[in-house]
This record gives sequence, C-alpha cells and structure tokens, in this order.
Amino acid sequence: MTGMNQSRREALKKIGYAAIAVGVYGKAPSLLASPAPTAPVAIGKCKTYNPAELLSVLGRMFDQVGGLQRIVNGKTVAIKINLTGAPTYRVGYLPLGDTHYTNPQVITAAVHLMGKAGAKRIRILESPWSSAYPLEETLLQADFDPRQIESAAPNVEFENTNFLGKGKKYSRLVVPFGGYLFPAYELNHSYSDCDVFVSMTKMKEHETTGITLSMKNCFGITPCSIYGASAGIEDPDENPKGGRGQLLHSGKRQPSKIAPAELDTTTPREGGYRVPRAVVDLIAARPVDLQIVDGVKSLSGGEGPWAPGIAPVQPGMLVAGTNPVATDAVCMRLMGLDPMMDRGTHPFETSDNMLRLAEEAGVGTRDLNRIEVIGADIKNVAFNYAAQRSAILTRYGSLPTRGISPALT
Amino acid sequence: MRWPPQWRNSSDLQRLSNTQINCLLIEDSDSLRSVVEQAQKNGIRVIHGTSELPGITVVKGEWPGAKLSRSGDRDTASSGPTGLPWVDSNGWRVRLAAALNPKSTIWVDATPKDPLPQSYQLCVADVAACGGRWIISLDGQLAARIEGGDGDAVETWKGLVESVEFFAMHNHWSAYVGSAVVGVLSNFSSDNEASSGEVLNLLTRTTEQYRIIPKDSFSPSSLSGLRAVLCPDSNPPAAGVRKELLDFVQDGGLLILRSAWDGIPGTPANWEHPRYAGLVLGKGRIAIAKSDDAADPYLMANDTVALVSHRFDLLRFWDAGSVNAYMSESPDGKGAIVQMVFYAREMNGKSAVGGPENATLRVAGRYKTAQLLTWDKQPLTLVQPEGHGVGMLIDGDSVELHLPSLSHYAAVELGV
Repeated sequence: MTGMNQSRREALKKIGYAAIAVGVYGKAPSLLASPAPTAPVAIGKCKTYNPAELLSVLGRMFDQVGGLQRIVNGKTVAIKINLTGAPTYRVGYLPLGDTHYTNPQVITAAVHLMGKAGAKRIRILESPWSSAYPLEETLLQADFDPRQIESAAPNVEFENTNFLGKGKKYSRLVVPFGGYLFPAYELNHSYSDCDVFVSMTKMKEHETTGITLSMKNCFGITPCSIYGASAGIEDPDENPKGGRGQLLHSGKRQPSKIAPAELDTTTPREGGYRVPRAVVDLIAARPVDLQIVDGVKSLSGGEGPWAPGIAPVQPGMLVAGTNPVATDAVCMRLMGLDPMMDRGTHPFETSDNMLRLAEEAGVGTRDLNRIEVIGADIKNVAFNYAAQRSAILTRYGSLPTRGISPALT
Repeated sequence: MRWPPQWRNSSDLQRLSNTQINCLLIEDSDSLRSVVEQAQKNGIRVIHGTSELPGITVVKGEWPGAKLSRSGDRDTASSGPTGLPWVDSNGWRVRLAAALNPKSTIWVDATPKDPLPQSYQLCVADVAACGGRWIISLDGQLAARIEGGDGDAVETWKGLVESVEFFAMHNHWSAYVGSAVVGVLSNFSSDNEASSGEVLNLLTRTTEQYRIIPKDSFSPSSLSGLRAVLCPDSNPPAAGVRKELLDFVQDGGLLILRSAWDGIPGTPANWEHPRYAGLVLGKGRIAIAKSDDAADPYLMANDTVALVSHRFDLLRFWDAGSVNAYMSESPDGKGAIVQMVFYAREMNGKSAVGGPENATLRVAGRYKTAQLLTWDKQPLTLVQPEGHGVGMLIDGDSVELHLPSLSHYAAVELGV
C-alpha cells in the first residue's frame, strides 16, 4: 500500500468516527476540517487498442502518477474490471470491449506493465451478471481470451466475486465514515486479500447515476449472493441470479442477514439517491489505489446496450490516477461534463452527484482547480458525449428508443 | 395433419393442393366420410390414430414458445428461474426419440394452446429443425376462420404451409451429422427418464451442442469427436461402457458423473468447484458431483457447459434472445448447417415473442462462405460487411455472422 493511501485511510478512519459520533447517516457529513485529498491525474491520447500503443501510453501515464513500481512492486494487486450486464449483449454488432466492457487489450497491457513493475500476484476480479461460474467463462462468452491476459504477467488469476468464490468466508469491510447506506459490506475475500486495489473501467454515462467511471465501477464489488435479487433472507444464495436492482437500487429488500442491515430504511427508495451513496460507501470501505479509465472507444448515452438512445463513440483517450474522485472529476470534464453539478442538472438530472458525496465523505476532491492534470491537455483531448448524441440527432432525426443507434446500421 | 372437424366438406381438401401435406389424421371418420373418400382419391394417406404406425414414432409434445406473461400481455415473455424467459420446446424430444428409435420417423403431437398467429410456424420449425415432423393441428377458432375466409387466418395458414414447404425443400439436411461437444449418456428411462430428459431440455437452452447416447446402443464411436461426456444417471453404466469412458478420459476427455462409481481411478485434481470434486486420469479429468444438489437438471446442464468451458463453444450468440440452435455437418465434410429457432427477443431489457433484430453468431471452424436461409426471404449471401453491418467476418478458426432482423427461424449454410 502506498504511503499516500495509508494516510488517506487514517484520515477516513478519523472522519468515520466523527460521523458516527454525530449520527449523520444518509446525509452529507460535511465533517472535513481540511479539504478532501487530491492526487495527480494523467491523461493519455490513445486512438486504438493496438498493444504497442497501449503499452506506450499506459506506461507513460503510470510514470506521471508516481510510478507503477511504487504502487505494485511485491504486492498482490486486485483489478476490478467492468463487465456490466450479460456477456451476450452487444451494441449492434460491435465487440463488447469497444462499447461497454473494459477492453481486453487494456486489461492485458496494464497487467503486463504491472508484472514488469514487480507485482507479486495480479488478480482480475468482477461479479458477472447472474453468474457463479468462473470469471474466465464470462470473458470467453464476451469473446475475450483470458489466456492472453493470464500470459501477460506472472501469477495472474481470475475470480468471480459475485459470491463466496474461492474464499472460506466473506470479508466484512467497514465504511470508515459510518456509511451513507450501510455501515459495512460483506464482500468476496478478494477485496481484502490484496495489497493494492485497482478500478479499471470504461468512460461512460449512466442511466441511473449520470456517469459511470472508476467510482461507479466499484458498485459491482458487492456480491449478488448477498445483495442480489436471489439472495436469501437469512443466508447468501451461492448460485446468485439477477442483479442488484431490488436491493441497492430501489431498497425493496434488505441483504441476507449475514450482512449488516441498512442504517436508515426511511431514506428515499430510489436509485438516484441510493446508488451514488452505495458507491461512496464502497470506495471508502475498499479504497481504490489506482484508477484506469478506458476511453479509447466507449458508449454515449448510457452504460450498456439496454439504455435507450445510446451511441458508440471513440473519444481516443485513457485516464489514470490514484484518487478515484479526482480521476472521475477529470474524466467528467473530458466528457464535456461539470463535476460540480448537482442533482437536477446534466448529467445528474435524476441522481445525486456521487463525486459530491465522496468529497463530503473525505474520499477525494472533485474541484478541478485542486487537481494536477498531467499529460495531454484537457482542451485538446476533451470529447463531448452529449454533443455526439446531438450530432446523431441532427443527422438521423431522432434517437432510437430500442437502444441501438442508427449510426450502427 | 390432424384434420379440423370444422372442415366438413371434401372441397376443403383443395387447401392441401400443392402442399407437402400428404397424410391426414381423421379421428372421427364417420362424420367426415366424404373428406376421407376424397382424400384417398387424391392420393393422401388417411389414418385414424397415431398408435402403432409402422416406421413412425409419435412423441407427445408441448406447444412451443416462451412462457407468456402473467400480466395478460400475450406478446411479453415472463422469466424462469434463470432470469431468462422459460421456453417450451420439442426439439430435444425429437432428438431423444430419434436416438432411441434410429430407424423411425419422428412425429410430434402438440396441440395449440392459446396460440399467437406466428406460433404455427414456430411449431413447425421447433420440430423440423431437429428432423421431426409436427402433426399440424389447428386451433378450432383458426380452423373456423380459415373456413370462413378470414384474411388474417388464411395468411396464417399460408405461412404455416410455406414453412412446411421450406423444410421439405431442405430434407437433404437430414443426412447431415450432428456436431457435438458433449455426449449425454443415459438409459433415458425408468427412474432416469424425467431428470435426463430435463437435462437435455436445459442443455439445449445453453446452445451447447450435444450428442444423445442411449446406454443400450453405446459403441466406441459414440464418443468420437467429443470433449466431454455427462452421465446424469445415478446408476453406473455396464462394465464395457465404463471401460470405454475411462479410456476416453485417458485420452484427454472430461467425464462428468452425477455420482461416483466404485473403484474409480485417478488422482485428486487441483480445482475448486462448489458442486464437483475432480480427478485427473491420464490426459483427462473426471468431475464427480459432491452431493445430490448437483443433480438439479438446471445446475447439471449449466455446470456441464462451464466444466467443459465456453472456450470450446461451437456456437456463441449475442443478442439472439431465447434461441435453440443445432449445428450439423455435411456428409462430405465440406459444409455445415446451423439451424436457429427463436422463441423470444430482448427489447430494452424485456423479452417479447419473435426473432432478434440484430443477432451475432460466432461459429467455430474455418468456413469461407455463409448463406442465410429463411422461409420468407430470398437466400442472403453473407460477405465481409462495410462498417458494422450485416455480413460475415472471418477470424482464424471461427467466423462471426452479423444477422439481419429475423422471424422465428433461420438457417446458415456454411462452406469451407
């Protein structure tokens, strides 16, 4: 663990105790005596998923945020990738890695660089949709080749974290500031059995939360065996089916009783309130030491093929950082969005701003004036997601309602 | 065809002119004497029941399709325990009957149950894609509406006849040999009948390609080309079969057992599975269920697919909705056919009755040509697409087919 992150954890711990003391669950704590932490964010232009280009750009970016060796050397590294939705859904005929899944070439390149930087063990993690089968099987269904990732560095492993998995018991991770929704979460062992935690995600908008970047990616660390539709009332369902909609989105039910119950069940039962808070709880409970955001190719208008009015886009960039709030704030600006916006304004029309919640919980700053941006200039790289949709609207007359952009046909 | 009692006049037989319908099941022949006589004059075979027909095995089937919503919206599919719509299908029944009765023609007797107009074509395809024939049975209301000249009903009838014609035109596919990754070995009878049948049903839903191997007709060639064999029965096979299976494992195969056999050889494998213990034997592996929990047919089917691994998928679909698919190879080895029956499509997170709008199919194999066949459109040759449109991408050891909007059935003929 880096010294920076250790000190941040210490700070979070202190804030957490204060939050518990004054009983501010469900509200922005506003307890910080000093400004929320910040960290440099690197931006790299990257037009393709060509391995040589990725290795070059990512290598430079890791150097810019302080050096990969400093972060991973001799450590067990856990990388949460983003495989949202079933692997059997595409956007049009496009490969999943070109739209809404973290691209396999980005995973491979990062794993390779981590191996070269001395990582002792690298574990690829995700909780795939409605599955308790090996993660490699989901990757294959998506047409990714896990062997390519596995051979990119020594000691690469995969684990499906949607259930107990290879662990003997779940790990309880406490939310240091007390938690917005839950005081602690029961997670697959992989999220505690690691020295370094990486969120490797896609640069996307999101139907519920406005954006999905390195922070929102961590929503998926919750096992559906406990937090999913099929979770038992008493015990986890170790063969989980369905998603987290009933529980973490709409609050219609509580997790299996092995997990701590919700702090306040009188709070709003809607995704725009709950999901951002769950995300902040999770990234506080399981600090994210490194963020890698794949914006080479992506999706505009939603997080997956099921979202209405989506369009594939090619922003041509990668972003990396060591504070998830700062990293996501820079990503938002790169997407043509303002991280300081509040609920009711784009892209947070129906959602609370998870960056604000995280900032108020002391996880990190969203204030671009306090974030050092290294590498490519934001002005030169920025790619306006909404403008892309407007261009489609102008060209085709309407955005399709069934999720597939006419730009694909 | 089961002759509708509403069609009482011999002139109704004109509807069968220039169709492939050549046999009538008339259960109440006394009141339809004129129809029987005219049919026989027209050279149409008339039968009065389906028991003991030489060379024919009749299977009791279900009206196929995705389960409809309880809300009463008949175009919306409801979900089964998997989160996907529950599908009733007869394909596995046809294949099982053919495996148990290899010299028989398989007929399926499935009567309409609250049918949608397009369900009739689906029923034809559901059975014919596996080499069987549906005993055409019309809902009483539809038969009466056709008799009354109702335009929509007549169109439904025409569509049904066209789909029967399609399969008759392609009856050479019956000589093709089914492709398979997994063999399912069972006696498919007595205590094992229900569970082994349900395993076949649910294995079909995964689109894993499998071979049915009845214990009684097992031969060493039963295992040729397979990567794995699933034994869903609780009782072990005879000694000779057991030896062949262990030889199969020695050579690199995977054997999946519902329960351990006495004295099974092998050393413990270094793997972790919640429901299966592993043994290594020679170049292969044996997976043995740890408890009866693994005997649940849904788990057994899906565990089998994961134990074998999607790496060896012959077919892999995206955005195909609820599809059953059957791949077979031409006798000369120069081509293959993939038949697809679509029961429901996905739209904005909901399932609806019908075929997919933009499915992608990946087929393992070094194919160079692909032609899409449907019963309502001209054949479409799939070539390298411009941009991201309909077509075929050749990718080393596989091809990726970008399919256009489809109804309930399509087939792809592949050439090497």
